[in-house]
Amino acid sequence: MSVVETVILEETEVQERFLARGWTDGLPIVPPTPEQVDRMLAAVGLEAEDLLGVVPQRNCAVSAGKAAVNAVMAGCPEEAFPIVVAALQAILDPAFNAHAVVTSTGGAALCLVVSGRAAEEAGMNAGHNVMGPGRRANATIGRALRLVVLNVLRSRPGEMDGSSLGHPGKYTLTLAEDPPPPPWKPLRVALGYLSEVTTVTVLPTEGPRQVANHLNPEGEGILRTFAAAIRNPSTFCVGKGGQGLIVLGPEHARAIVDAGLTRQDVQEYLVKETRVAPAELEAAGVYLEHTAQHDMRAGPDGKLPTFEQPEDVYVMTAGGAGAGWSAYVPGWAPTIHARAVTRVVRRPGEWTLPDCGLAACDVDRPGEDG
Amino acid sequence: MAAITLLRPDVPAPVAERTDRAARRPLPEGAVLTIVENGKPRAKEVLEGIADVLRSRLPVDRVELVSKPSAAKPIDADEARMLAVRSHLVLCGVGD
Repeated sequence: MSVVETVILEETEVQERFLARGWTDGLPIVPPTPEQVDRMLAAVGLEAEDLLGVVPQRNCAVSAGKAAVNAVMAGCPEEAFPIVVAALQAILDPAFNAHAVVTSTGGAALCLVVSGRAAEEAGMNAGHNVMGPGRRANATIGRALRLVVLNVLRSRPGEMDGSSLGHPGKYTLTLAEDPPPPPWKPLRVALGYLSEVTTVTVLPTEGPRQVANHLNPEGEGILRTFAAAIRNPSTFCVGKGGQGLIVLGPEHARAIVDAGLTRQDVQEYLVKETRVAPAELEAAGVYLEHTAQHDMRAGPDGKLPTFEQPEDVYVMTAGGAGAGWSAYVPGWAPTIHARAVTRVVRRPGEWTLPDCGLAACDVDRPGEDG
Repeated sequence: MAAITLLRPDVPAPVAERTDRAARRPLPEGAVLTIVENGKPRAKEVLEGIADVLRSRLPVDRVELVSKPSAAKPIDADEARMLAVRSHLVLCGVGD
C-alpha cells in the first residue's frame, strides 16, 4: 500500500475528521483500514500501484489503491469492486471527457448500467425500485465513483465541481439490467459484447424523468409517450444532438416487444420522433445558438436533432411489475462534448485480455502465421 | 478511546513551482492579437469587444479568431504552441 498514505485517528473522531477534510459526500463513511482495502484489491486482482487511468488536463491519475480506499469508504461490498474498477476505466476514457463532466455547471451524474451476471453476483437490484434505495450494491457502487471524483479528481462542490444545482443522482445512479423479453438480447450483446461477459456502461446524465403510461397497450403508443417526454425544451440536449438512457419497465417492454419492435426500431423511432422544430424551442423561450459551439440550424426536415443517430439511444430493461412505469435519463451534454463509454468487468486473472472486450476483437500479432 | 490507522482517500493537488511573470516586451509594429473563444454563446462577441478596445490602445495590426469546437475540451499543448508562434497577444478565458 505504498501509494496510499496513512492517517492515525481516534475512532470516535473519524467521521468528523473525514468530513472536515472534505473527503466525504456528506454521508457517514466506513473507515478505510489497510486490511479492508487489501481485501478490496484482492477481489479484483490488482496491486495498489496499478494505474486505472488519468485525466491529463487535471494532472490526475487514479490508482487501484485509491479506488479501493474510496470503495471501502462508500460501503461497497468486495464482490462489487470489479464493477467499480470497470466503471472508473470507462469514465477515464478520453471520449467520456471526465475533465468537463465532473466540473460542469450542468451537474452531471455518473449513471452506471451493469449488464451481465456480475451484477447479480454483486447483489445488485434490477427489479422493483431499481433507481431508488434498498440495495447495498446499487447504493455504494455509484457512491464509490463519486468519492473517487471528490478525492482523486479533486472535484469538490464549490471548488472544481461547479454544479449550479446538481441532483440526487450525483450520490449514486446505478442500475442493473433485467434481461429483456425474448427475442431481445441483453444490452451488452446489443453493444457488441459476448453474452458471457458483464459490461458496465457509464453515461454522464441529468436527473431521471419517470415516464408513465398506464393504459395504452400498444408499443408505438408507449414510444410516443417517450418521445414527448424526451423532446421537452427545458432539457439541455434537445435540439443539440446528445445521448440518453431509456429504462423500459416490464409492462412497457412487453408491449413494445409484443408489437414486434426490435431495439433498433425503438432507437430509430426515437431519433426521428424527438427531432424538434426551432419554433417549438422558441415557443418555450429557448434561444437558438447560431454562432456558437452548438449548430442549431434546422436540417432538411426543418427540425433539429435531440439524438443524432440510433446508437446514441441506450435502451435497457429494468424495474418491477406495476401499472406501467419507465424512465428516461437524458445525457448531460451534446456528443461534441462527451459520450457514454462501456467497459468489460474484469476479475482476478482476466487482466491479460484485450481491453476492448468486443466479440469481434481480433489482433494480429507480429511473428504469428495466419 | 482507541487510535486506528486509516488510509487517505485523496491525492493532494501538486504544488506548482513559483515562477516569475514572463518578461513584458514592447509590441512590434503589426502585432497579431489572437482571440480564443470557447464556443459558448456570445463568447466571441465579448472577446471581439475587448479586442476593439485593445486595438485602440496598442499597435495591433491584425486580429485572428480561433473558435474551439467544444467549450468542454481545452486547447492542447500543440495547439497552444502553434498560437504562441503566430501571435503577439492571445486573449482567452471566457467562462459561463
